[in-house]
Amino acid sequence: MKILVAEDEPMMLKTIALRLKKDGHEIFTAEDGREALEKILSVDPDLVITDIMMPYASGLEIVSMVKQQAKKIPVIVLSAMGQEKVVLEAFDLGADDYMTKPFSPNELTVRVRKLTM
Amino acid sequence: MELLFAAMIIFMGLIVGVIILIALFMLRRSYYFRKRSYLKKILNDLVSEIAICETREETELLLADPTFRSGIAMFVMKKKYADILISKLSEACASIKGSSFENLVFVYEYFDLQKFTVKDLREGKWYRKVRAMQHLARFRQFELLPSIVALIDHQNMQVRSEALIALVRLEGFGGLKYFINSKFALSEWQQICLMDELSFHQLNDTEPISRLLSSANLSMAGFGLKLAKEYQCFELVQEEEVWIS
Repeated sequence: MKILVAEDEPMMLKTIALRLKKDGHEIFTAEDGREALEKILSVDPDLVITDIMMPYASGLEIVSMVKQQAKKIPVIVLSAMGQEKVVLEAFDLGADDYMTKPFSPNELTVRVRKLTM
Repeated sequence: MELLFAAMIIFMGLIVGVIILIALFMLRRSYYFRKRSYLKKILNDLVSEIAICETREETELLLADPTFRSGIAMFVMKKKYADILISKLSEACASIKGSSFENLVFVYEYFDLQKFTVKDLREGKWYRKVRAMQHLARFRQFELLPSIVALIDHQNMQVRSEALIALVRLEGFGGLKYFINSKFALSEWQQICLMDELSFHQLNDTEPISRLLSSANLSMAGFGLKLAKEYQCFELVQEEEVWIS
């Protein structure tokens, strides 16, 4: 399963990537919104995990772009506490699930499994 | 003429000296930043490896791994490197929960990193004390709570604010019980920060708010009133007739 993880905080990005790699997924990473938008086109992922607040392009723009693709790609949105309004906006755009930071990497793997079954 | 020439030479020498000093300063600074960012990159990898361990046994196995030990060794010996490791662990603790969070706290305690934090808390400048309290609260170091309580009346406002926030972060609403004897007034900004921190905790017992309301420190009692309104404990306010009158 090809998963694109977009997160601007390097350590979080590394942690999520390592965790999902351990579960046997092929991981592609992006450290900002622009890189994520490019990789959605070049990598053609099966699932996208994106942070909301990122430089150059926000998580909402990523959700919007993913949902414009012909292929149905599930999206999990990662948000900070107090971003409920933005999360609702992400759901309006078609996001499939969300997690609030701080979150458990183990819980993330369960949600990934659920969306990719 | 000779005097003028000598003065020119001295002046040129001074200018060259200043330029060399600036260049050396810039080189040293750039070396420091490059080294720091390199170390942070190494730490990102090490901390991520710790965070993804699923059980305590797996974490212990990782810590016993020679490659991992050699990678982390320098960060637990000297304080200046330990500070970078502590900051990275603390940063990760802010974004992660569950067993990954437990692993990070375990590593903090396993390498006895508290000793560096406590040193900052007791001997450091105000900003080191502030950072130390943030770390202690994130790593849930309850046994150091008395050291934090001792700082709620510190002369520096930033230290006082962080002490109050750390107490609430550690004990939730229970942390309010330490506030009542504070000599200093609670500013509006401190109250906003505390309200924000309290929003992450469950109010199980209204006793701490009740105690705030009876505080001789008027700003604390005022803060108690705001909490009573926010959490709809109006019966507490009715009890405080003296305060209201």
